[in-house]
Amino acid sequence: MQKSYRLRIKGIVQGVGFRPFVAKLAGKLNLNGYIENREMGVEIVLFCAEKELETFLHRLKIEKPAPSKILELSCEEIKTKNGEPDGFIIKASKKNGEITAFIPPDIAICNNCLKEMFNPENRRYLYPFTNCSHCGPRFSIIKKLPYDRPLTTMKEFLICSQCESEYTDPDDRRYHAQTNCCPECGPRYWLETEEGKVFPEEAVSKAIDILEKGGILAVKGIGGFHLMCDPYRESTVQRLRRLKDRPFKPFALMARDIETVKEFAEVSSEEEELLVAPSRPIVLLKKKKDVFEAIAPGTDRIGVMLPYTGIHYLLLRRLPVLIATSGNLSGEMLCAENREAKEKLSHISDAFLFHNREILNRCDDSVVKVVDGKKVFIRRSRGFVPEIVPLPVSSPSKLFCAGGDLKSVFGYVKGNAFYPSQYLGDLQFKLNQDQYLLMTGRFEKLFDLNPDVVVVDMHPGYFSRWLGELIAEQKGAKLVECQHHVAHVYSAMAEHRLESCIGVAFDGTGYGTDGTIWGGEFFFVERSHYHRKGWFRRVVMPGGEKAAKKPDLMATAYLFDAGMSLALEKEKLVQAASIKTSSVGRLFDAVASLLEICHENTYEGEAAMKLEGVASRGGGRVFLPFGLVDSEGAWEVDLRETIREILRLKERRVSIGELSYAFHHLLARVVLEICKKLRDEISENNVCLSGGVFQNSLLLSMCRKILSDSGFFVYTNEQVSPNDEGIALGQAYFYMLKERDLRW
Amino acid sequence: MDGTITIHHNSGKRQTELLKFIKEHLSNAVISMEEDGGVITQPVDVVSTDSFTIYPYFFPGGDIGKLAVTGSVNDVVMLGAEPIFMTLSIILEEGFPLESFERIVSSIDNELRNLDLKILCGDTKVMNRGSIDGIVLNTTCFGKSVRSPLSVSNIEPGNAVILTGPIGLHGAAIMAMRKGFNVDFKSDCRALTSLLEIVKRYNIKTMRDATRGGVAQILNEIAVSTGCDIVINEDMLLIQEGVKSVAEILGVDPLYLACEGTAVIFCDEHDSDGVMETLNDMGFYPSFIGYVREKSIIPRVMLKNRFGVERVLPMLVEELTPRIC
Ligand SMILES: [Fe+3]
Ligand SMILES: [Mg+2]
Ligand SMILES: [Zn+2]
Ligand SMILES: [Zn+2]
Repeated sequence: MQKSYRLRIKGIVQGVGFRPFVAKLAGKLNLNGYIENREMGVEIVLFCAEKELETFLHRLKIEKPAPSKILELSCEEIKTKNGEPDGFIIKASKKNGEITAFIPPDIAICNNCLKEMFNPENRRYLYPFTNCSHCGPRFSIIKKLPYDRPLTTMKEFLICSQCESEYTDPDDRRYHAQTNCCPECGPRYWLETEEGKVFPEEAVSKAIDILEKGGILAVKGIGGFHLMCDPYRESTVQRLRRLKDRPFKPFALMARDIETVKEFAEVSSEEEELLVAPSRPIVLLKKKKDVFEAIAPGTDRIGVMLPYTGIHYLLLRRLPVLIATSGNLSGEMLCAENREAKEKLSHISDAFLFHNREILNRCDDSVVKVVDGKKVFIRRSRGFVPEIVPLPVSSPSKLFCAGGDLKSVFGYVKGNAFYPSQYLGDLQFKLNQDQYLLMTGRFEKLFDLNPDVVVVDMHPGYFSRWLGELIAEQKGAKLVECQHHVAHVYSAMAEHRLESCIGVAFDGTGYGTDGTIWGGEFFFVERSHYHRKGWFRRVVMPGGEKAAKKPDLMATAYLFDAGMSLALEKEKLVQAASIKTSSVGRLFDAVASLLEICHENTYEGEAAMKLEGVASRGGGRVFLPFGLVDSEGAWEVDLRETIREILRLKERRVSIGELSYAFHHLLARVVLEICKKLRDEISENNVCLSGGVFQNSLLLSMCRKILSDSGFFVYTNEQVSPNDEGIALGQAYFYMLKERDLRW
Repeated sequence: MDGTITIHHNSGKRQTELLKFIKEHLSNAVISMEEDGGVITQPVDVVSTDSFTIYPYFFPGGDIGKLAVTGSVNDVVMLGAEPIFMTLSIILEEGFPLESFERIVSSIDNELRNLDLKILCGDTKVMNRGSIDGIVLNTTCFGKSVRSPLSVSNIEPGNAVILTGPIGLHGAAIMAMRKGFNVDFKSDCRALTSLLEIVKRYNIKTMRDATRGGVAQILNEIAVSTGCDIVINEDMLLIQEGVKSVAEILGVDPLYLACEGTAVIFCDEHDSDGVMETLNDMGFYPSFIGYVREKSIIPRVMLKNRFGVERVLPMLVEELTPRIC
């Protein structure tokens, strides 16, 4: 029987070719009706039988455009007063109703566009800006809503008649593609060297020449600049390291295609899926033996991505793999403006491949890895931002959550949607602070956010806190504090819609509620209440902040704590230290140094990564002891005997691989032991693991296994990073639960 | 007199004895200590006051007495004025060793004579044991401007920032002593009256001695009050090796360590060469460290490294607590 249905879809369904797709699908199924853009997504009205609706919904979910994302789909039968149209029509957008909460992230060039780009017959032959309704830049070029050409940086490019007719033809792939352009009317690339400028026709081939001769090229892409060069040329790689002041930190690679990737790295099916996804993140893969030692020294992983915009495909035509590292100065966010890049990267790059489309919202490449078949974000940025994270509760207030400091990401909350910003880097740098403030303004405009509550970290010296206070002052908003590690735990709870859990936060360092430095904490969490129920015995941080860069100093601290004798010089250092920490991140550093794997972190997490790297050579033949001390109803982990045992075993020539594996396993056992004790106390079976340390695949995997085997349900971050990028989400959820608890 | 200060030194015969002791040691520097006040016989237009507590009282390069004189003198000099008179107030804890007190008073005398400065009036109090920490000195210095007074409000974008010498010496010397480290450098504690020569000759906008909180804190205060960003070059900073290593061991940034004889000078960029040269001639070790930048919604101080990366030097939140993330 013929009925009428109204479907409302929320999610990324605008700016990704969703309406033409639905129209085509309805056409194929011979259904009458219409679709229109609505504030939070699209609305579809169908006139059909129930059976046909089912087919429609089924195929909608399976065949929808790759970059689209359905967050919510509701369907109800209606009595429509409007007459049934003849066929299926796309209704013109209503001017006011078009403000949408969901802007698509930047989308990698699609296969149809690629085919055109490499078809000599096509008018877009070799045109690097080729895109369509399904692909191309989005977030990085948008200033304001609605998502319309004049409000993007495509505004500068007056659309030509041919492109215009594609834009207005509902049957065209480029129907309503705001970024539609061609060599006639769109942006263009040029190459700039010391000798001068080279224009489009030759720019790319000249650029490739430079790469082939071992040069370093600065390439403007979607989210900002890359520095690119040939990874197989030792001298070039060393030059890049020297000029970037980056002696050991791994460089990301961009490979022509998945087959090329498989030549030097192991790729699981989950990893392959991520590599080819429209978000095109850098995926940390297990590298094959003895490859790219200079690119990723001392680790068993390599970060690889596939090309995601026309220019990448063009550059990779001759060299199958390129180093593609952020075009930035050490510590700063990547450059996005031509002038800025020239100012900052001239001493590094031999030539610049510039284009004349402005990048408004700069985004670094995202970085992910796969652990136990699940995606773990190391950095969530281009290709994912500004996707929202749906929250299990809704807030009557609008929130601004300032996040952390070292890997800063802020977030806004409106209703039950959390809007995380892109990765904004370490806030001790001016550029990053400026970008942070700029982006808060942009987010407020894009999503109509005007916070009345600001949540900040407790650390009195955090820049994010300072900036948060500033924003609170400007808006007359209420200022709320949330402890760092508590926020880590709440970030995982928010993702999994939990209201209570045993929270385990293993981290670098954060400011504790007692004014000391935390980083290895166990909590009971129930709604907005939390109790610290366990921690690692504190050791000093010799040299203060510097200790985070010097694993050998942390080793000294642990040796001292374990009662081992020290050289006088070192003893002096330990005794002068005034700060103590329970950080597991620092513990990793100490053990890496004790095992002679790494004595200095030239980049964040170096020692821990290298320690994890060698553990794959071990196999669980050694067990390390640990102590648990009851401290007024909470548990203190005492590792003094562990440290002594590690030294004894090292002396007995047990391999460092074996010891490293044993150390990881020890931590997993500590987690299990404390979780069991806490479960006995409150019969809580849910465990949330968060904090930067859980980026460690081996540790995460071991903890998950050992806990699951004992009947725990283990939850980890999947939509945001477990590192400090996730703090803002935790701050949001913590406050929202608190607000709700107060209402009740 | 010998032994220690007692509460009886507050009145009667013992008080007279103590005053006599002080007067003797301050030789001819005291104009009046018997009257309830002094009479200003010369025109003055600038005044600054400061109280001094420090432990240890004696440190390489100075002591609390010298510091009390140079501290207030420098505050007056920073305003572009010649120090003319000083007042001195001494508060002692019962039980303070007389021998130490004698050394401190002699040091005050010595410094006053160097500066050819007189004590206009003074006061002494003894307090019960435990109510203060040993000795507290208060000095107030009166001065006469050598030209229209210096002020932060003179500062404009583009102005040069010049440091008169190495940084962090005082703070590092004190911290090293407290921790029992042997170091090969001294506090820079000294009067900066010779800087008035610079003020007379050049278009100086303002000067600040980088005392508590060090250079970073002083620059932050100026950034906030002018509303301008300030950028300084890491490579231009003069930091002695000894200071560096003490700072490293203690995990503090030398930029936040106090100086007691180093000032930050803001001047017109065109005058920077002249200022540098004159400072050099006078025996300073000056360095041209950076510039005042344009107005900013969030005025900040930036430390620029040789790669051009600018790190923000935050305002101190808790004294010398590093930002651990
Ligand atoms: Fe953290
Ligand atoms: Mg003063
Ligand atoms: Zn496309
Ligand atoms: Zn065109």
